[in-house]
Amino acid sequence: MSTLEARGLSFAYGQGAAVLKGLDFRIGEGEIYGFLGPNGSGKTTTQKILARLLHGYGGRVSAFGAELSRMGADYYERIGVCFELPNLYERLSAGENLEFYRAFFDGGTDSADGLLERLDLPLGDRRPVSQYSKGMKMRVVLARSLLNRPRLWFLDEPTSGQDPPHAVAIRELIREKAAAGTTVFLTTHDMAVAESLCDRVAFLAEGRIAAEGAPATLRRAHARGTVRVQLREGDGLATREYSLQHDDQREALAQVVRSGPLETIHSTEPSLEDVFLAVTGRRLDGS
Amino acid sequence: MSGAHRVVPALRLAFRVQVAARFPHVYLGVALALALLLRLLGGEWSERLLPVLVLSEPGTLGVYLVAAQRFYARNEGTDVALQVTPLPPRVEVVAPILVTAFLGSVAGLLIQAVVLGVDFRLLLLAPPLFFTVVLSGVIGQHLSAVFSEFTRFILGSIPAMLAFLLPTATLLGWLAPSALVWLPTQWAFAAFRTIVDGPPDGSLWALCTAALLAAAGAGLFLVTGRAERRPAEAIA
Repeated sequence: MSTLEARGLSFAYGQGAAVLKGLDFRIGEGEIYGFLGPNGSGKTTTQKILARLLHGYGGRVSAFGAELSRMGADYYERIGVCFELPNLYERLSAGENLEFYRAFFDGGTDSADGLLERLDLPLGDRRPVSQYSKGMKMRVVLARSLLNRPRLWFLDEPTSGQDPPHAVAIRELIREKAAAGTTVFLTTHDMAVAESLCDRVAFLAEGRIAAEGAPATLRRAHARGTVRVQLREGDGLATREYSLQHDDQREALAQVVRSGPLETIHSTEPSLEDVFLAVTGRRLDGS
Repeated sequence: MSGAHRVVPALRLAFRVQVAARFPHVYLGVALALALLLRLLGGEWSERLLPVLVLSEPGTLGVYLVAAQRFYARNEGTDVALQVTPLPPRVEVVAPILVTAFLGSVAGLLIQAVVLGVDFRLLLLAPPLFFTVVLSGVIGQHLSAVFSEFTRFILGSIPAMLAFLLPTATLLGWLAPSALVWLPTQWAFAAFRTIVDGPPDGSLWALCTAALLAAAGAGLFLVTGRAERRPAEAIA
């Protein structure tokens, strides 16, 4: 059984143009599913629908085997939502933000202190979160989204504003939760995050899923199968490209490697960003 | 009400947020200042102004403080954060109003206690005070939903203030009760006069209080029902 499934999901704000134009996806238990697209492509709208913040969608969406629109408050016992922006009570401490939130859940919850510690936030800190850096605030939001031990975890740019060590720690935490069976729905426009974390990704462009699959599979499908080398020629460097799909070029490459004045050698496998550009005709920054 | 067991955590949160924003300090500070002013004025002025301030100070502040809390929540995004918890939207909306009504009641009673001295009969005014602030909180909640920015809300709320709680109108109502009988709060002036002149029969008082609280509840129900049916644009 899939944890989350959408068939023909569509949505428009009021009488405006459709933002989502028939999305189909299916996400299994413990899977990390990346939802990638530039700003305005419909990522956040999709996440809001899945978190039941927006109603009136078209198509069918089911979570935990039940139609989403018919689910009650118990749905929120089973999901966690980490927003893109730090939406905290700015005048309260991090501990208070978590403890007050925790009181709304009936099911088992994790301790606020344990989560704060795990996310490298100070324990017993009475300062209001307004005095925290953006990275610290985002980690509080991340901790808050885990309080009720969600089975389905929505993450919107989870490493936004984090320094490299904390970004690594957050990625490890996400992998750990997925390994324990939590399904992760990750929206991002950071291809590096998606590539390092996601089991599968979907490219969203203009309200449609343009491509879907494992990052490595998508990259392979769009690879040209060539190797680029730089050779010393006189005082300068010459760049040559060899196809791995033709015997004569493979032999020429082998010859260069054996005897040529080789300086560098690189595969030309595309990045996920390149694949996105090839599939959608747009870059993730929208250009 | 489904999720009724979450009312207490919601009230605790609303109270803590209001304390952190120093709402009780504002409420009780203004009440104390007004009460001391009345004591200084003394005599007929004090007698005339007391019923005005007892009701209008908590009521007027109730509109602004409930609205301010909604604007804080909207700006910080905490209203959306609460929407992804099992907390029913109705409870989320009602909790700040009830906490404000409690604070407003204390503020009103404080004014009386400072001016008239401690008299436990004056506690009978607590239910009307509570209702007045619930009503003003409902207005504040409604206006905060209508106006997208706090400055626009301040300007837009002036007509509501004139209609409901402006002290001048209230004073006029005290001096000439029949002239402002159309005001929704006019019953409160009569209630206060009754209390000052001596409490009525207990059963009648209980019946009136129950009716008033039922009306307050109906107002809350209407406002929170609107909150549950928010259009997509309001959230996006």
